[in-house]
Amino acid sequence: MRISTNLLFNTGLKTIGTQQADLMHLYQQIGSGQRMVTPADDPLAASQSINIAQSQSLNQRFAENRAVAQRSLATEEDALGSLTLLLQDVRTRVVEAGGGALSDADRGTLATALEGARAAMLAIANTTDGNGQYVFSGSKGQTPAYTDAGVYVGDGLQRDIQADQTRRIAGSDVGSDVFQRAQPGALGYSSRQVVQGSGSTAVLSAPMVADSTQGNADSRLGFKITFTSPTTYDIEITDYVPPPPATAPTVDTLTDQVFTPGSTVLSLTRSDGGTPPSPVDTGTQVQISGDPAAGDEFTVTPLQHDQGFNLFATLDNLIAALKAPASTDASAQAGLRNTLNTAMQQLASGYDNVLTVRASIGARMNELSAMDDVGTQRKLGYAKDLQRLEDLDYYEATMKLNLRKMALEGASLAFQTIQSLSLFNMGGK
Amino acid sequence: MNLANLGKAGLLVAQNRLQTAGHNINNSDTEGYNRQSVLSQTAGATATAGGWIGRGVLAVGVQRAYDNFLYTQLTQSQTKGAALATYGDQIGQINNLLADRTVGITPAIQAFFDGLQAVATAPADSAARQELLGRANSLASQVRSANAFLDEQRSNVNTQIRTTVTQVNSYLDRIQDLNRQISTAKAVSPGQPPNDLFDQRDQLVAELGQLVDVNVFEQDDRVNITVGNGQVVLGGDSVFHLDVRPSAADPSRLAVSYAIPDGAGGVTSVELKDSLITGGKLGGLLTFRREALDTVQNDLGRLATGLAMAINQVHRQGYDLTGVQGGDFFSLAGPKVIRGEGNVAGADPAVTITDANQLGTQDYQVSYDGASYTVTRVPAGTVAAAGNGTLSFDGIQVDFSGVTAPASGDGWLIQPTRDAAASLGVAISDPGRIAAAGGVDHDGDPATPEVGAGPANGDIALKLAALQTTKVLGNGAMSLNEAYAQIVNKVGVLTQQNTTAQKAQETLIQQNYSAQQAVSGVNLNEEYMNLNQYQEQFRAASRLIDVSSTLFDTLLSLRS
Repeated sequence: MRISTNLLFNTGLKTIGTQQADLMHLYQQIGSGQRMVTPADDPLAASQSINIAQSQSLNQRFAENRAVAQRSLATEEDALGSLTLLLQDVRTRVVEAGGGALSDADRGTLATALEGARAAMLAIANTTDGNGQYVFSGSKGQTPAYTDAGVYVGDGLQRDIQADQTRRIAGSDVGSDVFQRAQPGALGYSSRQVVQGSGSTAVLSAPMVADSTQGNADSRLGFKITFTSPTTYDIEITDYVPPPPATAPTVDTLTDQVFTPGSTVLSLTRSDGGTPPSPVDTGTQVQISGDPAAGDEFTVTPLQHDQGFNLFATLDNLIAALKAPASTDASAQAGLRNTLNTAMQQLASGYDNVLTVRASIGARMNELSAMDDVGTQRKLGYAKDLQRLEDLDYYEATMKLNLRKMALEGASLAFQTIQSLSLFNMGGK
Repeated sequence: MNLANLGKAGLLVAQNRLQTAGHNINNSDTEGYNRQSVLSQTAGATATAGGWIGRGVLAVGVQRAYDNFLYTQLTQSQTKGAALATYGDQIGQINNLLADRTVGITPAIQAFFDGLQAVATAPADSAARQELLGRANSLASQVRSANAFLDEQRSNVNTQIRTTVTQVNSYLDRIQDLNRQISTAKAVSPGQPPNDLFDQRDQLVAELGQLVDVNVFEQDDRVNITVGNGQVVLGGDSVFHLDVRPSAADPSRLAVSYAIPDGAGGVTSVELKDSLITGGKLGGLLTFRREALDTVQNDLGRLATGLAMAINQVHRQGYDLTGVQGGDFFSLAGPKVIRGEGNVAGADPAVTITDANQLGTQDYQVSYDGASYTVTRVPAGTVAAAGNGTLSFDGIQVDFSGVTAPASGDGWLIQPTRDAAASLGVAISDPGRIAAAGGVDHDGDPATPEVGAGPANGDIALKLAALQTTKVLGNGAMSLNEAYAQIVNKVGVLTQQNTTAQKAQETLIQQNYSAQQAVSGVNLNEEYMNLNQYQEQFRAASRLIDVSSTLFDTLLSLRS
């Protein structure tokens, strides 16, 4: 075959060009440390690395979100820690107030102390975070959660934070869950004297379900007892969880029930639904002491269903009762006793509730920490994946570089040698 | 005395040969040159009693070492090679644009959703809101700038098509000129081929082949040239220039057109379908535009559409800092409807995108046959929908009710996403207008409208942030980021395929070239040997004259 001189040069040029292009690519790889100089080098890996980079940045973002959640939960936990101490203190004061030997002036002093506690509690309820947002007001971060009158003006929306791909964690709790709720699952009752009959010395305390086989094991029944005379009373029974098809609480009444003066236990009954209705025992009892009078009105409400539960109102009632003179009058004493009983029952439940909320905050913070650990693990995984897809194996590249260098030198040498073999160059005549 | 004549004939032939060898050596580097050699034969013999005495040598012509088959193979492979190289140059630019995933759209998407997460985490934080707006603007501008790059490339392709067609026309003129020169040369010296003119013409045809794929027919020493599926551009003694004009279907793209006689002495220009030109630089450009540029730009537009529609849809359900219901977050132009040239119909159909998730990346050609409309996917060619009134297909709704008096043959080109990326913008400028909060049922009555939750609520921002990983495109197959990754992958694959094909083609060209050169190329060593050989011949021939002279002198000296 004839090898034209043109072809010889052409081939030499092409070979050297190809080798140089390969070298160039290697230089780019080594210079950037990237296996893929352009997506064309490995289209699949290029698109995979884009997706992994997104997962990586998401993972990073979730870590930042968790840090925000940790901060805001820590703020809340701080506030609730103070609230716990404050409620402990208030409960001590209430016990002190119950000591019989106190004068009106002593109680006035206690009232003043409780007013201070109430102000402190309002300040806690209106805690703000670093952004000036009120922590306990639900979605209405710009308005204080509670008014001075102790009315909640926030809403019931949680502030969810995306802590992980699939997990949203509430970064705070709404005020009504902290200050206006008995602890979840509480089966207790609170009793309250709504109206004191003239001259009544009746004191109601410690309602309890004595016999759980009588249909009120879940504390679903609420009672309102109205004395029509010292020996008769009407009772209004509210079933908060009526059997279907009823959806709203149902109310029954029994009238003219007989009260034996001097008895210490009042068994609460419900109606059998007949006409006229007959009383049926509910196994629920309430301690009663002293003598009721016509006009006495008591409520015995399950804590779970007490819509009016509000620690601010509890304190307000307490303060008002302590301020009223009661030293001389047995009836006033009885009224004070009733108010103190109510307050004790509500404070105990409110206190437990705050502890429950704090436990839930602790659980959330723990969960965040656990997710942080997983996040760190994932971060490593993503970095490793990206490294595998994108990073250059320097050993391999260096080897290739040497190889290419040799090839280029070889090609150049070969071209020179062949080219110099021309007869014209051999001093032909 | 014939010996001197013999010497003279030998000298002349040796001179011819030396001249031709010199010509070969001179042109060893001339592109398209075919090695020449002198054809010689004996000058016959004279009958004598002693037998036939030879009369020496006679040069009868000069021929070029040329094999039409090898030449055609070479030019054809070069035509294909030129198409691949042009395509590679073009797609290489997009490939480089997408090379670094740490700049451009990928980080912009990530930063945008990162900003959404920040707002979701601290909805009332005005700094987070401001930053989100900044990031949204940056994302929109990255998408726009990628699209602007593609637009620039489109106009670049248009310019190159125009230039290339001008070059093609110039080549056609020069080939026609050579056709004439060859005819003249043949007339001047019948029977002797004008080798150098042939070489020049072959070279021009080969160079034309690098611009556009042509078919060449030789007839009576003339070449006739056709392009596409048989459109004559050089035939007989006439050149029919190619032209460039805005495509009838889509005026934004330049199409090649050819001229045909209109029967009244003039010519009419007819658009040549892009798909008919596949070779040469022109073929590379057209293929790139059709195969890569259009689809990548549609893909990018689909990404922009998916982003804007998915975000807007959720954003509209939210409430801003002041409790006002959210509007659009991103602004986006609607689908582009291009009215067919010469449409009779009074108005254009109204096109809306109803579901970005179902969107494909095709364009659609609408045609009216006098009774009903047919929508065909471009370039797939499959029918998407047919009928009247309102047609829905692929997440698009086309309402023909506004079209008045359509005539058979009317058509429209619908480009649902082509310009979407260019129009992507952020519709809000006040950070307070970001509707991050969800709605609440304020009065317990589901019938009354909801009102916005407070500013610390980030329900909608959470939903918006979740769109980062939601499959909002390709019938639930791709998230936004994955859609972008798919674009990168597509460009990468196209580039890689092209590189591979180009390498294979280069090898083929090299093989064809060496086969052609084996026949036609000049080997200087060979010429060197030839020179020596012809020099020997020249010496020997002169020696004949010397001998003849000596003989003559001998005879003369007999008399003295």
